[in-house]
Amino acid sequence: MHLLAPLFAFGALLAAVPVLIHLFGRDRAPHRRFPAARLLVAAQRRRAPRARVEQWILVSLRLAAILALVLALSRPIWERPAGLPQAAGLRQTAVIIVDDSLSMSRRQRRRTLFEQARGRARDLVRAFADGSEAAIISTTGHDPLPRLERDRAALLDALDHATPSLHAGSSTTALARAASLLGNAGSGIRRIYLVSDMGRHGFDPTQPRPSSADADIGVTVVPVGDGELPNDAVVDLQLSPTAERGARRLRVVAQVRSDDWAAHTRTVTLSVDGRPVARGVVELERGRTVAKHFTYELAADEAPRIVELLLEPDSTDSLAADDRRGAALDEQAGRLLVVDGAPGSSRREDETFYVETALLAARGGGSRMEVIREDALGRTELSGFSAILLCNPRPSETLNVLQPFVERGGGLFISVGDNLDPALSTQLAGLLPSPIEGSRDLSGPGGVAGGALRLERPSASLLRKLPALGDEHAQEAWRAARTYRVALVRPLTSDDDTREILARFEDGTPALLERRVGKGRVIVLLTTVDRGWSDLAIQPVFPPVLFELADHLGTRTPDGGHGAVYALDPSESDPLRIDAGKVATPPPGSTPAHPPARELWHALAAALLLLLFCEAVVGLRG
Amino acid sequence: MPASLLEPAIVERLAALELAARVAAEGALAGLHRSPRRGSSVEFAEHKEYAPGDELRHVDWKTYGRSDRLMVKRFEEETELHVLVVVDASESMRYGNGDADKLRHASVLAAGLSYILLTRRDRAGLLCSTGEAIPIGARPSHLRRILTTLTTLEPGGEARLPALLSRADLLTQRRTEVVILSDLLDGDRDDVLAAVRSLRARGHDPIVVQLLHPDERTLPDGETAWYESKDGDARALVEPAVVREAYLAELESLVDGYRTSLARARIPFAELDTSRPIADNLALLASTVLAKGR
Repeated sequence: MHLLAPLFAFGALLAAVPVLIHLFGRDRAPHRRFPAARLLVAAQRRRAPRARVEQWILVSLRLAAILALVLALSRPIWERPAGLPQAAGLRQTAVIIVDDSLSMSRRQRRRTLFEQARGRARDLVRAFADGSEAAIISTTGHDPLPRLERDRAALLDALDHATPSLHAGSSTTALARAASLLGNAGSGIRRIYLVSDMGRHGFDPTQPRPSSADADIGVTVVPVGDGELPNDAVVDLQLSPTAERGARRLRVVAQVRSDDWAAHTRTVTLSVDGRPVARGVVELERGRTVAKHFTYELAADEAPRIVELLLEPDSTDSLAADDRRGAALDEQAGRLLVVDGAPGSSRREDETFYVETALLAARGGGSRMEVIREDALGRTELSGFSAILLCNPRPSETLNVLQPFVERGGGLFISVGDNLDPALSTQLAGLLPSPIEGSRDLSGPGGVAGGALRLERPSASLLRKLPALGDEHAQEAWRAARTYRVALVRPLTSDDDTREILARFEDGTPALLERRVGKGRVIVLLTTVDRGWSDLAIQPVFPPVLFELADHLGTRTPDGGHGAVYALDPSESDPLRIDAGKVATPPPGSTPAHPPARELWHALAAALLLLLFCEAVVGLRG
Repeated sequence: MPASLLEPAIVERLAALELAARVAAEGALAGLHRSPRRGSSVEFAEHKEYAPGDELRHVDWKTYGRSDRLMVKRFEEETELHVLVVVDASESMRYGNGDADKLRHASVLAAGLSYILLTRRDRAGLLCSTGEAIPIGARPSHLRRILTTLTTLEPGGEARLPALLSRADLLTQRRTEVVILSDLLDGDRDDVLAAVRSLRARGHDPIVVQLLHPDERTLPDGETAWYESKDGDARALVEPAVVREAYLAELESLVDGYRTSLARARIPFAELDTSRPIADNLALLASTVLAKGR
């Protein structure tokens, strides 16, 4: 439910009027001399209990009448679950695509579009006739329940745990995946429900609806968010170091796009390695992109690495995440090598998919990483990389190149997985903070309550290395991650200050370890970076954390970390929508109805009359 | 008589009333009222069988001749009536306008009653809760003293009826009708009743008259207001329409307590509404007095 005239809602303050009249009216009541006042006092005392009940009823009725009046004037609109597509009530096999892309984090009427989409998806699940089965997938690949499921509670639970993403999403790809899921679902009504803001950026402009879908698979669009939402975004950031007349300067050009309703100005801040160095103002117009130039003079020994541009917070901006953008100054610094120890048959089955996607989301679309298979590690020149991210490695001779890489100052991130083998511990003994001694299934026999562990609140040591976790929401997302399997390590000795447990699970089991080796560092995550053992990879905090981990690994000085850099896909800031008719197909035997929301003021007016009548009756009886 | 208290019309009407007290009063003067004392004067009352000690001059020899039984004649003596009017002049009596003002109403009633009594050669006295007292007397100047006192009466304080009635007993030498004019809203009802019964036990004939203003009888509609007693010890924020039913029940309980207890003690009790014409109320009061001894 929402209000068409929300300003009238402030009239709810009028509800205080009867109370104030009661409170102040007592003092302002006239005084009358009355010889039989003693009898009046006794009479008041005699009828006090009944009078109190009557007064409460009267006050309640009057307050309700005022609220009904105010609410009616505010023109509330109720989007009933019954307003769902008619096909939702049929027995069917369905795939619900919940758009979790960055643009869905925009806020409208205090709720993000993703929250609205999740609510609509819940309504759909509840509306399905008994015997229906459904899957729930997302547009970014972080699918809440990517298999057909008949259990309504499981579907609702999956929706409850779905979280928005900072990634760009592809509705066209999601439609193709949904069609693939339904292609094997046999006969009967098969339907795809796309719950999305229908942002143009999520669709293939040439063919929004994939041709691979069967003709009898209907597509229903359940749009969320109405009207345009004001938003400003830093869509690009270019750095140009120059040397003029002996002075080292850094030229910064930022592109700021506005889709606000009216022309306005916003203050921008230039930050170098987390330190604000300059401020300015940009004048923005609806639908235009404005360039903002800064020139920053570098000190003689200054070697900045990360430059960020931030818009000052604005409560009317519907999406805050795209109000900042960062870029790395040193092309060599931050160049990452992602090594896939367990390549899958499809890209999405690789752990490196999650790593790559997260780093792209955190660092922007710029290609600053290279992804290779583990067997290609020996053939790769490692000196051009600041850090290597080794995902689910298997024991092999090629891993021997890592030891000299780290000792020379490189960073190494290792995430474990199903390739865990005692031989791996032996082979990486010079790098691992502690030998890995198998793994523990937390969801199986002898596991933990709930079948999963959550991470502890970040320690001060971790927060220094990962400032992105300093935000309260980030910590909530960090602790929301559920881990079902974890690798076990031998306890660290307290006298070795080169090894450290950076993070633990709630039961004290180590989750993240660090070891300094030579001039470099090694960090080991004792679970997977895909969804095999943990859902950490689909938490919104994962991209900035992974980026800062990589950044920390590539930093050769002990506490050389800096603020997180957010450089999100600028296409997600595009407010333009695609026509739902280009995607939807009418369901067989029914109309793709999306009935208009129903105004409630008629009902409220009737309720007001009823309340006034009741008030009169109670008043007369009293 | 001050015109402010007894207007000619009232005086004329009252003059027609026959204030004939049924209760015989002790007194030395002959009057219209019958005394319970058997005496030797005017009117034969009854025969009584002779007993040693009876005066022989009262033996009815004719009856002895006819019936051979010694019977003694008894006579009724005609006596004057002693009345003490007790006026409650407490603060609570100052309520209402004009004749509906309770204290003025009570004053006129007291004056009227005194006028009737004194013009009939009966005796009257006055006792006010504010302390003024006119002993029972019968001289023509006595009425002027009573009227002057009533005219200058200023309300104040509480009624303190029990103490007032004790003082009334001290003011009377003989059997006296004590007419109590009050709204009976002050003080404890049981204490007042005990004091009235005590008067009766001492041989007096109390008559209790409750004067209430119509507002007190009906609690008329009005805006919500703080209702306060005159002395300020009772205070309530009241919406009359809401509390009326309970108030009238409380009032009825109070009045019924007086009504029942006094009836059990055979003490007349009259409830007068100050909105009625004073002459009517005076007539009603007189009727109550007359009805007492019948």
